[in-house]
Amino acid sequence: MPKPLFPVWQKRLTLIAALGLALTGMGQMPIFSRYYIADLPGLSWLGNYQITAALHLALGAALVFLLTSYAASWLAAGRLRPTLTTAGKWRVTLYGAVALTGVVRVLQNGSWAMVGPMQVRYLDWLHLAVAMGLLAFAMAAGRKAAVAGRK
Amino acid sequence: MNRRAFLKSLGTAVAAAPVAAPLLARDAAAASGEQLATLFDLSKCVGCGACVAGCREAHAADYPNPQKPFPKMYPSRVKAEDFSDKREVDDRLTPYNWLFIQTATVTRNGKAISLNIPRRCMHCVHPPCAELCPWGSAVRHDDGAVVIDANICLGGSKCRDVCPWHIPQRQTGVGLYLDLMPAFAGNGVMYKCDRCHGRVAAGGKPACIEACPNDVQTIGPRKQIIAAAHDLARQTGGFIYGETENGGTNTLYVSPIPFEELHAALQTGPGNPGLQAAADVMGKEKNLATAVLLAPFAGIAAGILRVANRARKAAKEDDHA
Repeated sequence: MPKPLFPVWQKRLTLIAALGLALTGMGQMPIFSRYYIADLPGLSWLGNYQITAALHLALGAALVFLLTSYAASWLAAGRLRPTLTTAGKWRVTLYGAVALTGVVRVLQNGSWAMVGPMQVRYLDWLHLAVAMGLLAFAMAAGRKAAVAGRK
Repeated sequence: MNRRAFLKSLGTAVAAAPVAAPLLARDAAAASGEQLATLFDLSKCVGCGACVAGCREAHAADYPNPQKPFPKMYPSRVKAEDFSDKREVDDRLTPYNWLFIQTATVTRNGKAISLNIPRRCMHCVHPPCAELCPWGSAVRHDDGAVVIDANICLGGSKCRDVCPWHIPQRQTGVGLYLDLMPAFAGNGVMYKCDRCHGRVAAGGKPACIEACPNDVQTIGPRKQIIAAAHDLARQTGGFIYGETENGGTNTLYVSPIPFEELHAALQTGPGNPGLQAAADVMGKEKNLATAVLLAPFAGIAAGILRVANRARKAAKEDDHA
């Protein structure tokens, strides 16, 4: 019996990375210090932009690795390729958009700026909006299966 | 994925490194010569304040006019920052004073020497204020000027926190946050020198340069300005600040006195930046950023290897059947 195309450990890692990214992404805004969350014992790091930005990048690398691994497996599966449900299509779209806008922002901070200086705001806002959309989706339909049948 | 597959995908990522690394070549933009930089010859500055007056005149229309009383902000620890009744202050950076002159007095060979140092935003090559702004309101233009857009800034002051010199200054009661949730998010607008981006884009020079009677400051392509700074330092036995600080800035100072001594002589504090050795804030994240760019290569390799492994195992099971 071959191992599942999308093993449970990979799904769990994806969830952990996504939750960590949501937390450290919120940490890019001055929220945790303002609302006393960074004052809680053990959570002072949430008020340190250097730490949250570094963690956001590290978790972003993990998520991009996992997502591209899913995509490559799905594309390479041939006749065994599982069919995406509606929830699965939403998941692919939202995760893909949040990862894509994040990678473009990383490139923007390097030396391969893809958008003009005055358009960076739209990139940031899109990244934030898609992340919020993903959060809303996770709360509303996060437990729905992404693929029609396990193959 | 088994361990072998993981190692293979890691190998793919390493092999892809030459592709991804140039995308993050942090010196490429600076080396292109397109960014403009300024050079301050501190030996020429007499501290007359003409640059400060020129700056204030050129930017009078850009200064904030806050609505009062300020909206109450929650929680109570969030304090308003208000310089609207102290607009005349010119001995520190404020939302109404984007350039000021510091004076450092040091003793050399038993003799007290005072040096005047015009201070404003350093316009970093990789500005943490712009690269870490979560709202896209701080940007670095192609000419190297780092500008905060007062129309969309929410005044969270992250830019000030991450700036090695804590340059941007906040004014409460103005800006976009008033139209959103003024009680719960935002706190005004951050202000700082924009190196007269509009004037320079129109072919002019920054107001401080035009106003200076002693030609303390010059502006030009970064490469040429760096060369000029080294020439000046060589000729005068001087010292350079700003070339490598925070990974490189577009503001270079040449001083006859070492900057460590000047820094030690300064009274630093809010709105009064020092001249310390500033580590490269964004450089610390370079390796992680490279990992993000390599991750897709490793992920694709891992995904394909998994499918190949499944196919091989399935074929083996068929043979045994």
